[in-house]
Amino acid sequence: MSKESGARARGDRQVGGLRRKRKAWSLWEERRVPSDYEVVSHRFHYHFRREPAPFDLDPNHPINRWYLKHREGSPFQVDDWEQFRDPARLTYKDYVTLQKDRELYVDQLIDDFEREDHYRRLPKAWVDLLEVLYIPSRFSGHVLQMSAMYWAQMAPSAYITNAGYFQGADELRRLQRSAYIAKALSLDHGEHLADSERTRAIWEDDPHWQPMREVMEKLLIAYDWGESFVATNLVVKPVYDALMNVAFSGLAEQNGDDLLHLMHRDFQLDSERAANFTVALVRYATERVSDHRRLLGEWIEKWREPAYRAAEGLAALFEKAPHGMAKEAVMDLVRASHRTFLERMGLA
Amino acid sequence: MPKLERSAYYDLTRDMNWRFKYVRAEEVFPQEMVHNPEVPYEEWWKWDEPYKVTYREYVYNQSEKDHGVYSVKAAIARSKLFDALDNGWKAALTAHYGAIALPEYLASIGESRMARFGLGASWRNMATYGCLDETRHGQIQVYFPYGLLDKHPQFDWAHKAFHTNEWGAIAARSMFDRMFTANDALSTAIQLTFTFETGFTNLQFLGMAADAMDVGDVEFGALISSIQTDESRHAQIGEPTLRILLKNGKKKEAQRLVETMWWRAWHIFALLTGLSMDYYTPLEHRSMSFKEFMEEWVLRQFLDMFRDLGMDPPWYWDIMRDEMNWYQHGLHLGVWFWRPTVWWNPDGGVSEAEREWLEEKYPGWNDTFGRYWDVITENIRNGQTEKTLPQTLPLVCNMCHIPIVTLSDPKQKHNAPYVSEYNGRRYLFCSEPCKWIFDVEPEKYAGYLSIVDRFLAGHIQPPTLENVLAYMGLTPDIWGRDADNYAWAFQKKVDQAAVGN
Amino acid sequence: MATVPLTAAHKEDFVVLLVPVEDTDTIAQVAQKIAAHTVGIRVKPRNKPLQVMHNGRMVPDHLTVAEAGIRPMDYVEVSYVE
Repeated sequence: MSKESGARARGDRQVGGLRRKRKAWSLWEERRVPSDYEVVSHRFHYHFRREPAPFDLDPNHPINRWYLKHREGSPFQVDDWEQFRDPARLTYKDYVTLQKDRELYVDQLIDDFEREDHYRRLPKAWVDLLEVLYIPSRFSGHVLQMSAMYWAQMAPSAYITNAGYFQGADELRRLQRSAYIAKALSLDHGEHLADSERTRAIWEDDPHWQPMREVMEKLLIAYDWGESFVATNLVVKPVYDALMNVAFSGLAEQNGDDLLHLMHRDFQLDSERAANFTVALVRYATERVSDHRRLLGEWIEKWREPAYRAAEGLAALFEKAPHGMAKEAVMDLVRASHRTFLERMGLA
Repeated sequence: MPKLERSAYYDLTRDMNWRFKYVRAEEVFPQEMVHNPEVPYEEWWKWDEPYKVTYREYVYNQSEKDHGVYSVKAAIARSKLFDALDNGWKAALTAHYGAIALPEYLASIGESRMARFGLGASWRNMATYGCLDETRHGQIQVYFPYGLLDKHPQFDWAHKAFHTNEWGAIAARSMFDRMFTANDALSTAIQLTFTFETGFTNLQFLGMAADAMDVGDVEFGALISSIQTDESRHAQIGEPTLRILLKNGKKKEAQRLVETMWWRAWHIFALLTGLSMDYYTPLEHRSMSFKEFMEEWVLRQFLDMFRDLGMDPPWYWDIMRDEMNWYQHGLHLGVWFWRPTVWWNPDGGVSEAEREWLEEKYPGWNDTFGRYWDVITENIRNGQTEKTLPQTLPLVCNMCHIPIVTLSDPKQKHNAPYVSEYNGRRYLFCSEPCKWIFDVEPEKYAGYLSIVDRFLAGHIQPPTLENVLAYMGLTPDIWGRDADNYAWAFQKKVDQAAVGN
Repeated sequence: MATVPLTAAHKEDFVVLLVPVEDTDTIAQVAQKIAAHTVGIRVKPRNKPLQVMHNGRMVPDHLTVAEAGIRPMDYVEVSYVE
């Protein structure tokens, strides 16, 4: 009798000793079987509200104090975040599969337009506008990437954190395509379009960008997890996306740039996914703690005007396109879009 | 395909660095979240990843990989393959999932900290991919054992371990919290990606993938090798960070960061991989001993890279080389003897044939550790297995939180733990480097209570061993047992020969 | 009478243990309590007397833990008299 089979026979009997058929994680509370999404997300943040401190270091370790202050110490609390579900229910595998198909579409789009020698046929006045309005948006897009990654690492449940990771990656997706377009345009319209120093100078000095730069820089230091989430997902990002996805997509279409028109309509799908997640999380919280309507309302108030001033600064540039859009028309679109979004959560 | 090659536009995807006007740089990058040793900000803008990748390439490659690995899993789930696996290998698998699965996801928090507080846009971008990678590794390495729950409830610990105060979970968690979950962005770049991932896991996963295929665990082999292909992408984050530190005269700081983490990684590695390679992997599938693996893969390759970058090996290199001869043997004996306190079924791994292999790989093994197993084997043969189970707690190191095991050579001077006093409290350590790591920055650790400190402080009432198991979150269906129900104690070498044909 | 937890090891064993003793226990009794966790468990029994070392010196068998000045969590090591 070989050791292998002998051991297995005895091993099974002995190892099987107290075997109970387990259908789910022991930390799963519901009777039904969890979905794959739930299996790989449920209660992953064991460190939230862990005593005496989240992490196995001195309780006064700077990062223990940071989490105790900005997460456990945030006014944005509910008893149990673990029942929240992101409407899109994305696991990592779902996310990369979803975005592969979308990136395939955008690659196809660029292919089709490049075959028509699209860049060279764009009017110079339009390209000049892109240099000031569009190309520097990789800086603002990067800030949104950073702020999503921040509230994601601070969120009290992996159901929330993971949606934040994917939102941060979506920002990287959008800004990388703007980098590609900047380089492609530069081959027909001049090296300056792909010159990092010049683009940074516009972001740092051009008056149209300064209100946006101000609200973005301040967004980076809103360290309370609730405020970071609200400022980003309930105010700055929806306002920014209404401007740089929806309004800008329309402006591009008006000016014969259907490549940017269709690309930014595609990016708006990512923004809508982030919006749906945001609405679901806010409803989840306000249903459990009605006072959060007041709390979220106060944060919205704090960030709304700076975000609108930021949009207004860039909206002024919309007028300068060959077929321009009036600044007020752009701002009406942005404000209406933002109000409709807030109304979905009863926070208008 | 879009006409522009990645290299044509890549620099425009990573130049988003600027001087702040409306907020101060110290507010955007506070010291507690990124410990910048006075390297000028604009130096960090030159951070250059050797391994370039764009978002579109990332989602193309990654969706293919996941599709492949999950289909392997689905195929295996239908087969009886798992049941045919050796019980020793199942021990290695169960231990790995409990100690590594959720922490991989925790590494996404460390990566996202760099994605927000990394001091250059290129660094923040690479960490954004790293964050996604670790989310993948965490989710996939939790999903696979979930599919094995019906095989044994111990696989539940792939999800539960880090919620508990089991001593092995504390050892892993206290290291990973220091390494990335609660580490500042700059230290994480050096201590997670460079020291731990490049130094150890990069190779450990390679070693395990090969063993898994050898043993016939196709599912785990596919999983681990697929994870491995992501590792080099985000493990690269350490190198550009190190280069900028060295270029700006911060070698002392860089050396300190590596040295305060390398040793801890070595101890956890010896616990997980040492036991797996020297005792759990079936004899006929062992390609090399743990010591040989360390010397070939970790030491030689890492030393080369260390020197290429202008770094020195850690001061305790010789102490580690000595420990490579015996430390894993002590840990194995400790884990086996205290088996009810672990969530896997340790394989004794000391049948006569296995002892012969151990003597060949570690000359003198039978005169040191072998003598303990003689007494234990005797007790088992006499039907006195209760004598092979613990009646008290081992001492646990206040740094690595692993039981204080000592060289078993009676001629050596003493077994006493290393001691530090700090703010009126006494701390005990298993080794000189663990004591040194504490003494270097005691304020990071001082207020934390080891499992023994908690026992002595009365946190476990009544203070019985049974209650300690409950405190550790261990339920009877999880308590570790001998993987082969002591079969190895009755195996004569002659039986072994019968195994061959 | 007070319980004194000691960090203890048998010189020939491989691990340091937590062994509670009473401050009124004699050193001989301390040696027995440590031996109970080690001799015949992992250390081969030898019919030789046991001795106890504390702070680098062998402690006379008849002294009590208190008299020997052994304090909580001090390290003691038991070994066979060669």
